[in-house]
Amino acid sequence: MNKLVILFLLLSCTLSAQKKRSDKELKKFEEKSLKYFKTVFGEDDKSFNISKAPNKWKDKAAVVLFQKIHIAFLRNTFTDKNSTRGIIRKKILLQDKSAIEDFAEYFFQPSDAGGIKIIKANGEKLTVDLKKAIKVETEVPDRYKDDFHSENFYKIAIPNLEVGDIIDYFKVFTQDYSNNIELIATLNSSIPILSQQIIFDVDKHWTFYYNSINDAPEFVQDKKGGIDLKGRRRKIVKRFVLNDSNRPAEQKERWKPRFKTEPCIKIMAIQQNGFMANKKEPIQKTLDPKDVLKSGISTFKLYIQSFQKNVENELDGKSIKKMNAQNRVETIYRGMRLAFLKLNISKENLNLIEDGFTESLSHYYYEIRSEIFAGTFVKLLDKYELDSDYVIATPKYYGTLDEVTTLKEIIFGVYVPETKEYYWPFDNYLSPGSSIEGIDGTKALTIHQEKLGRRKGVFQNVDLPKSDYKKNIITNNIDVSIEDKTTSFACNLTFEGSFKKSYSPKILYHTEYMLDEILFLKNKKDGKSLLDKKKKKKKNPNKQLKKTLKSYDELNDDKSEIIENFISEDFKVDKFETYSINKNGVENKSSPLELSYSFSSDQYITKAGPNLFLNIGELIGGQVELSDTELEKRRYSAELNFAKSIVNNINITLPEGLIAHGLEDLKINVDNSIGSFISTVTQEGQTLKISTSKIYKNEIVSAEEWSNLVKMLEAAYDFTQKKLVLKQK
Amino acid sequence: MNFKNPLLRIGFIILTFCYVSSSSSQEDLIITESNLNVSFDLDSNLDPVASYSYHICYEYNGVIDYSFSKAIFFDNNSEIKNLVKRSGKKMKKAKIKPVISDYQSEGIFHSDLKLMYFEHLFKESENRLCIEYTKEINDIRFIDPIYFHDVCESNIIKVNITVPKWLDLKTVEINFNKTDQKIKIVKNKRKTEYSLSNIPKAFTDRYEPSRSCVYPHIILVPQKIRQGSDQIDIFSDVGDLYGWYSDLVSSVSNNTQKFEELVSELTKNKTSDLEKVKSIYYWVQDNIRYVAFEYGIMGFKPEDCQSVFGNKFGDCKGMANLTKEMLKLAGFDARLTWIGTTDLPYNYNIPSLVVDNHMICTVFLDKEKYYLDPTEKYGDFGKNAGRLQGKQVLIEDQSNYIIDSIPFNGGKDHSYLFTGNFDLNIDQLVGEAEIKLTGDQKTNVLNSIFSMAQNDRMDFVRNFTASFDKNYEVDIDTYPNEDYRDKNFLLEFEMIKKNSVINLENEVYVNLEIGNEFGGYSIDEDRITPIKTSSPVFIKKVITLNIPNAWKINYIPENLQIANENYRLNLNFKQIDSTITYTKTIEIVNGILMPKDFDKWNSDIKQLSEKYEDTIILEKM
Repeated sequence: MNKLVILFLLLSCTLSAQKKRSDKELKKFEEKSLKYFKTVFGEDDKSFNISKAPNKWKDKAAVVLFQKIHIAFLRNTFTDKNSTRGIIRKKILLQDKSAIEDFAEYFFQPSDAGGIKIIKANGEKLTVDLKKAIKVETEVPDRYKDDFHSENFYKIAIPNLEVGDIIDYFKVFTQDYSNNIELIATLNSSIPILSQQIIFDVDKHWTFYYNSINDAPEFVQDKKGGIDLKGRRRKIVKRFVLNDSNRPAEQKERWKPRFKTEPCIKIMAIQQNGFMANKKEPIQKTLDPKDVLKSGISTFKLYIQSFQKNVENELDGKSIKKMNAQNRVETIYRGMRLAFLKLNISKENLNLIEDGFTESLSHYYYEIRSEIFAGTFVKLLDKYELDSDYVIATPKYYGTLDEVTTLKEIIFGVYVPETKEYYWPFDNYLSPGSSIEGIDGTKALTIHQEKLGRRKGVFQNVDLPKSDYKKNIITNNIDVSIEDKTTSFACNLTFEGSFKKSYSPKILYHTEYMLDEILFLKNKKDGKSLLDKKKKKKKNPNKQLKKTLKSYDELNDDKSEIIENFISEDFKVDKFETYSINKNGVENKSSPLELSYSFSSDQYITKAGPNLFLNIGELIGGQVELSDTELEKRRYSAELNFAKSIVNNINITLPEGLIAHGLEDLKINVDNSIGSFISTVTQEGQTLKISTSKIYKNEIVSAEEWSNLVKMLEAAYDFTQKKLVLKQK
Repeated sequence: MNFKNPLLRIGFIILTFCYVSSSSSQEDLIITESNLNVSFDLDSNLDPVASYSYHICYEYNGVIDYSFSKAIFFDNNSEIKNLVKRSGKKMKKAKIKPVISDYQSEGIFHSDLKLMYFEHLFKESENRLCIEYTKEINDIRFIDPIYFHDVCESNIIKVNITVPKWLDLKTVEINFNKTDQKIKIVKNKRKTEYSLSNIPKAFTDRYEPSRSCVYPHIILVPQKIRQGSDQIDIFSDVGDLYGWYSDLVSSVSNNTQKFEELVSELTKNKTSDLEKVKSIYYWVQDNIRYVAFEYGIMGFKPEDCQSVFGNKFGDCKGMANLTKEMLKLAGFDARLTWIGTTDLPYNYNIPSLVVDNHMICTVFLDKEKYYLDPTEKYGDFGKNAGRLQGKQVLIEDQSNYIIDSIPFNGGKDHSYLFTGNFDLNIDQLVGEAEIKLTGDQKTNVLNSIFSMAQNDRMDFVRNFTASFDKNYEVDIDTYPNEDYRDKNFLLEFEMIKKNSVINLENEVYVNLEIGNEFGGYSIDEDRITPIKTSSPVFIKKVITLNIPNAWKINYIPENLQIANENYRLNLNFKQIDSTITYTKTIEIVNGILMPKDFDKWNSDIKQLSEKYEDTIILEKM
């Protein structure tokens, strides 16, 4: 047969096969859906008979009349494999046109099962024919997504949808799982929920942890048991049921800690051989973090031993022993981080870094698992004759340690009595002794490293150090000169304390800091000149070097653009000139991350009749703009990542012949128990010195104290609107 | 748009298209040569088919390995055949196993557009790739326009069009005067060759007009087929185009029974024909959701009216058809109407399917024609959306057709009018104000309001009234309801303008600017694509300041007057007795700004922005 004809046939077959596959998928979906229909849409499920929403929610776009979420952790006794099946059914009343638009399309995945009905105001029920659905490549609304499948969705436009209609849809998803399933969810959503039921069925060979917090109703065990893989109701399958009603829509507020304020459930299901599986007591109300630490250290023992060797290769044992305790801890910590990054970076890239070339690590962001960190760190400290304790903490946005139910809520750290510092799992940038998000001021548990696992080992309750606004500081020293209408800026920006963690990924975009670490640990001093030497030496660079140099230049251009974009978030940059990273801040807790940069702009001086305006307020960068609603009221406490200070020291050199008016207007002093915004102005000859200090004194602000924070934030915003009048003398 | 339109695909077409994974590597990729041979043949049923045979060679000059993705688009009327590549040091020929998937454009619910793509890894040592394939179009009415620009830079592009004796083909060259490249055209009896060299890559930018408005391209119009002494007209003129449309429309089996009662209900208490028409038109706007379909012939053929009515959704054709049938039922002369919106730079001198991308309904009432676009939610009867204004329409007229144009009135049909009267109160301005909106300005805001949940609407209105600026405090408690048609959209409110007064005891600086429209809106100097606003713009704000007793005016800013064919920017300050009136008028005439005008725009915007910052200076007497 002619080759062209064959190719044509192949192409045609591909297309027609696709179409057939698509039809087959939908047919299978329909069959499955019918099978589950009785389970889920059974007319005997009287909970779904509700058809009216209470009057109090009449101005809401939609109301969930009833929803049922049923998740079963199943076991196949024949194959000895576990699986998970979830069924969600929702009945939603659409009360306005925005809801019609919102729910106008129904999305589903054909490997699962699902269906949708419309219940008209007169009670008529219309089943939507899903056979007309089409495959979608575009974005799918969150409400139809789950973490179980990544395959393509289908969608259908729901016909004849009107205000007053009720949509009644269900979705079934199944999955074989080899990992833990961890879930923390609020009981409310963006739509008010009149009534809901959440059911978990747990078969043998699963360990199940469950908890209700923040006044969420408790789960009640149903003694009749749950449904097994074959659909049989069996007592051996444990069933937990939570009934909830009258749940208003979640109220969104800035800096609101959702999992501490909204009623939540936490669950974790672990397979028979998974980490923290418990064969003896497979049903647990909460997870004991102490057990997790003990298990973690023993489970990852081999990995810890192996990692410890990697770290030791990075350390110069002899010189470490000569160091004082502080330096010894910091060197070990930095050695661990370097070894960890090296394990994750390709050898080729590592060689380049060691040769003095930078390589983009923006796509290589890593955080060490906290059991590995704590386990390895205490071993190394012990090797270098430093005592230490394990520390168990949970970020405050999850709640407290006694509410812990899932592994992701737990963080392990290490306390070193000799330095009186806590050390936490690092990412690419965290410096030794620096804190991590959410744990400042929380209650934690400690135990001496040797006592872990011993019968007499007792955990101690400790309060982790509170966040201190005097230590978490951003300082920008800004020198401003004016020539005609052009303002030139030379700035020196430093980040200290917890700010470093937020800003390091933006500023240390490439791996100069890694080279610094390599040089530090190898005790080399002139490493950065390696690149220049190499460039000079290679007049006719080989391909590899040519490639690298090109890559290096491109990355430097990229980085310059990244820094310019970063600065442009706060300033109106017309011409970006230079930048340099003076200190990478990864060395230790007190070393700042420091960036210098310069630029010019024509956008700060404007004409004011015969005089000029200097938009002085804009020099402190953008400030929080509270809405009217935020000014008026606050329902929940606000939780900031940490207490902090932001300082601007602005020196403005005015051209000869010009004098500034309106200086008094720049003096602001708002200072209360929650925060402060203070600005001062002095004038020495042609130099104006303006300092602003904005302080969030506490990381948690109660609803009652919110008005004090508002005063501070509004003062800072008002400052940004200030202008100076520059007049001829 | 929901009208099936091959032009919607040109963003991805036609000589080639490549997805590039890394911008820096993309810079190193060029098309060294690209040949497209367009030919025509008759298939086994003696139906004419078109073949687009491509031969494209790429060269990669980067040093880092680069994975290049080549994508080819096709649909139910076309097939991709003979896809092969040559690559490697010996440029060995090999088959390609492409991946085929559906493709969805933003805003289109269902399309038959498909994507065939494959990947090729360029290395420094193996940096050349040539590909060949043929796109066969099995109905020559649907032949693709031919574009030259690609996302890669091209050295040489040649397009050869060979027309057989049995076919009359018209080639229409569009935007050839809008490119710096010289397009060489050699025309022989039945062959035409277009060639051009050093073609920069096509860019994609925000707010750009459709590519058909900007890039040079060729539209091929198959006019006639000759078979012996017979000749069959395809699209010899607009009459043929209308004929083809008309046949499709005739094949729609409309049944109006389902909505007879509704039509009767909608019209029963209406005292005039105008009221009856409005009642039906607004019902369709309010109750039928717009869902775009572009699947096969349904890209051109309206869905029957009973389905659209039953589903409560439809595309523009379905909605226009339902409107027409409801109006006919009520005794009106209503007709389907084809139109190409302002996204298309064509008129009916080109009898081709590419000239239309939308359908509306025209109703004849008291010898007047009214254009009804039911997809324009909250649109007033007798007012036309900006995207339709100035465009030709093709209106049904039984076996004949009518060509007309929708009037173009620039931005004035779509105005934002603000009036405010303020007093000075220490360091702020306090007063009363109102906002009136018409045309697209009004429908856009109403769409925003009613797309929100009820409990969020008042906040939106408050923020909109305050120009989304924290420095304006407004006191407003009501917003328009959905019956706001045929009335002025009016918001009346009290307003405090903060941070606009600098009080230096004997001297007060007052800034009267409100809204700061286009302030700082300079265009990136590297931009090479035009900019299009969604509809023409007309903003007029009149702000009056009452001068307090014991103060005199020391300085009033000079007026700013900038006017050209594209826009007018006027800021006018006028003192009358103890008041100063600041009048701002901004008009963007046709909504498109070409790159040649960017420098002028930037310089004008700089002046405008500076003037926005300028102040009135009052001095204590």
